Amino acid sequence: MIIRVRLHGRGGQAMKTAGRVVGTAAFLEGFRAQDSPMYGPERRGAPVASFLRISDEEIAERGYVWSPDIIAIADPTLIGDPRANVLDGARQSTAAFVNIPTLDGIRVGDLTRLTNYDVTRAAIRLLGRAVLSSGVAGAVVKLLPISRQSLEEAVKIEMEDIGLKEREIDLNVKLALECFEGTPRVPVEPLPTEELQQFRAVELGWQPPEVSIGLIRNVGNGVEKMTGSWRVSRPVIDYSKCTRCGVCFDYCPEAAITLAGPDNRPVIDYDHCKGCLICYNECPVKGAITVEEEGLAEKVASGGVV
Amino acid sequence: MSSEPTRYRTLKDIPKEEYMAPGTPLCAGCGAQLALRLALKALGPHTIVVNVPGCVALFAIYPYSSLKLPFVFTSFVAAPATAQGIVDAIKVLRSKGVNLPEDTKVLVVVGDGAAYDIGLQSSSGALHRQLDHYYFVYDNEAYGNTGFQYSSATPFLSRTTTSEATDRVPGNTFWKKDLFEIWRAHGVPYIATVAASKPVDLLRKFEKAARFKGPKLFLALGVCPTGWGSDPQMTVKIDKLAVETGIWPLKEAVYGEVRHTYIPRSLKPVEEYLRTQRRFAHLFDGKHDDLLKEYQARVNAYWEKVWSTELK
Ligand code: SF4
Ligand code: SF4
Ligand code: SF4
Repeated sequence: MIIRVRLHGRGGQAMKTAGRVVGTAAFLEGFRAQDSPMYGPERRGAPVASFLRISDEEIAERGYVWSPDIIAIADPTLIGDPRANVLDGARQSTAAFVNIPTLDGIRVGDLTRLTNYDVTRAAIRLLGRAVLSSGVAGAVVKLLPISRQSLEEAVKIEMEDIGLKEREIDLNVKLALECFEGTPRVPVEPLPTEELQQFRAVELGWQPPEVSIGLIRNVGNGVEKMTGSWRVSRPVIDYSKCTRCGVCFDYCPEAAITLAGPDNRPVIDYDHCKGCLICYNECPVKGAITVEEEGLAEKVASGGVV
Repeated sequence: MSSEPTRYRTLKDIPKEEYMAPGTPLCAGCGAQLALRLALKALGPHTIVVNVPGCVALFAIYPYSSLKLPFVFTSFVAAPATAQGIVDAIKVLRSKGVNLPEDTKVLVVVGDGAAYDIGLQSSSGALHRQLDHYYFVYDNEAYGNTGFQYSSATPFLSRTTTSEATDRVPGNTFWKKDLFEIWRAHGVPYIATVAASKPVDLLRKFEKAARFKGPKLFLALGVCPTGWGSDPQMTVKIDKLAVETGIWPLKEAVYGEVRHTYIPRSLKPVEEYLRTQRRFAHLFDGKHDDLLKEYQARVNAYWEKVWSTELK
């Protein structure tokens, strides 16, 4: 029996490492395990996924997990994001872990086996940063036939492997165990391999060059991509302090600041600002740019979570 | 350069026009993106961009394009040939009476993997032929787009995913290849290094390059928070430190004559720069002091030469 897991997060939340930890824990428990991250062109803050298969028999599949038995969602704002496609191939019986303080009002498609824990808060408390790998791994292990000891051992192995110091490794173990304990268990029902959907390669017929070469006539239409959702921190300009020096405009890599109006006031385009905070760091006037945490509530309100 | 006529005197002179659309797939805080955004401001709207695999290739993920300019994507080795084809086509069109803007330019944008390694041979050919084009390298000092593997632009002692730091090896043990000097040996009209934290210097160099016919080559430092393990908000500060520690000299070569456009009177210790990045973190365990000294000595030796020849 193969258990198939798909982990969803944003670039920088360390879902690749989370997958590795669970894979190693499964291996230590005596299973065969396979884990791999998605290779994609998108970056820190953009939706990413990693894949995991755990089995007591040989695993003859590779790559993308089409029919997940477990979905782990490290960032609830991904649920409604079509680019993340977290529900891809999910069945009603697929178990879903969501990194969120409460499941009240949260829907993940029509899935019924939902469970949760606030990994982000635990990570910030223990590690000082929202690095979620060990925590999400702990939560996922809770849903699998893997012991606490194997989890603990796996976190140590993987954290040492990425070069963490002893103190940080201990804190990661704490985080993993806290999330393991805190996540309510829900039943997992692996899909028998015979029932796996078969996927065939898409056949591409002949197309005239105007179509087949991917000619983009509308140059600059990348503006339709709303990279504002990548942001975890929001720079906010206080116009009563801002001297209109323009330095923030100069150094914004994203061209997300324009100098507008007769006084050349900097205006941040929040649809695209990725929250790198270079503007905040470079602004020469104390207090002219402040940083606010991007609230989840706000993203829910703006339709990010359904 | 201060004596030469220029449109760019202070930060206020940075053009407001943008040739990059926000919403790109590049990492938050990408230094390469900032350097390119500034360069395009100097190059203007009649620039045809040729690009190869690398982070900037993400600007054109079908059906989206993040540049408001024509963009041709080709293979690593084919960029100079593609640029040659476009340059030739422009000539042919003009000879047939097609009215193209006077300042139509061809710009090749590549990363260090393409410039230092995979595409070096074909770009050498284009330089040898004195192809009239701009060549812009965003140097993030590794194969950043595929997970940060070592390239010949990777600096001494940097950890990459293929030059790990272990008990036995301190990361990359080779010195960064000197592409500037390789280019210079081709006898081309204009070569410059630039840094995004010095936008006025950057803009002026592009402005100056426009006077020359033939290859105009730019090497831009691309601070890479993702690969270097640095804080995205520190990108410009780190870029500045690279310049002020003397690790990233700002210079130009006009027909081979080298001149530094920024000469620090004293250098900040290289450590100040190295400490900002996780790729160098292994050097600060107390066991690598000799190597750090070697690093500093190499940088000092470079500048002593510059001071003795250019500060007279
Ligand atoms: S850098 Fe600061 S003071 Fe200057 S324009 Fe931007 S917000 Fe205003
Ligand atoms: S945080 Fe500031 S510098 Fe970074 S993308 Fe947003 S507006 Fe630009
Ligand atoms: S990997 Fe580095 S160079 Fe590439 S987009 Fe990200 S920050 Fe920029």
